[in-house]
Amino acid sequence: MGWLAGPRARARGGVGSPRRAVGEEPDYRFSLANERTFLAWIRTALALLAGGIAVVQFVPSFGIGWARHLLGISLVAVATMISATSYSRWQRRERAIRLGAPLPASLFPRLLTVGIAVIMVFALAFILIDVATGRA
Amino acid sequence: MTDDRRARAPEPCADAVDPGLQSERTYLSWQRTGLSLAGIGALLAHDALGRHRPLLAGGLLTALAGLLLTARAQRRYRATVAAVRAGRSPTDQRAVAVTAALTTVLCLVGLAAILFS
Repeated sequence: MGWLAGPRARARGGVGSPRRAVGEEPDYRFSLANERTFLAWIRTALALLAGGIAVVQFVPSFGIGWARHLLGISLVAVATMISATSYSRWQRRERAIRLGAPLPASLFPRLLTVGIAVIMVFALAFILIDVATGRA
Repeated sequence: MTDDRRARAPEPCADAVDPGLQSERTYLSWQRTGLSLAGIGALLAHDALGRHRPLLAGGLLTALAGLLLTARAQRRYRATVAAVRAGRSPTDQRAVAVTAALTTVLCLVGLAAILFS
């Protein structure tokens, strides 16, 4: 639980300094912006996770029996992808900031947008099928 | 907390060293993340009460972790302000790593909960 240690410990041993420090000490505003971006990704993952659990737990069953599970599993799978890659994304950007290099380009936001759009299209289709067959 | 900070740093234009209120925004971001985590914990615990008994402990632990993270956000804020004032980098690699790991484990637990429901 060392990460719970207060500012005093950090001032003493520099707990917070990156282990593989490269380049120069960057403008702290860039580091904090990077950290907030990381946290925004984490919250995105948590929101998708909550949505995935909620769609299985609270949404009434669709006409197609496996529909809720398909939606829930894909949402949580996307959340897992985001959170599993979030640390390396943060670290790559931190390195780039320290080296004064351009931020690494990433296909990830585009993939994520397409993935969520596909899941939403499936959700819409399930609802429309229920409406068309008079279930809803 | 604000009063506490003012007592230690009496200079009137202390905020001028922090244009854009970066430390505050980061603090609020950590707080939101902690509260989201606590919310997910509550959701998991609720799910556990209905169907998956074993998830109850996981849900409560997650809620606890979320509350710890929320409480820690304040300490982190003070550490950030101190680091900025001392000209050190406010980066906290360990907190980032722990948060990322916690969220990943949580996602896998959620996946398992759906698969085995």
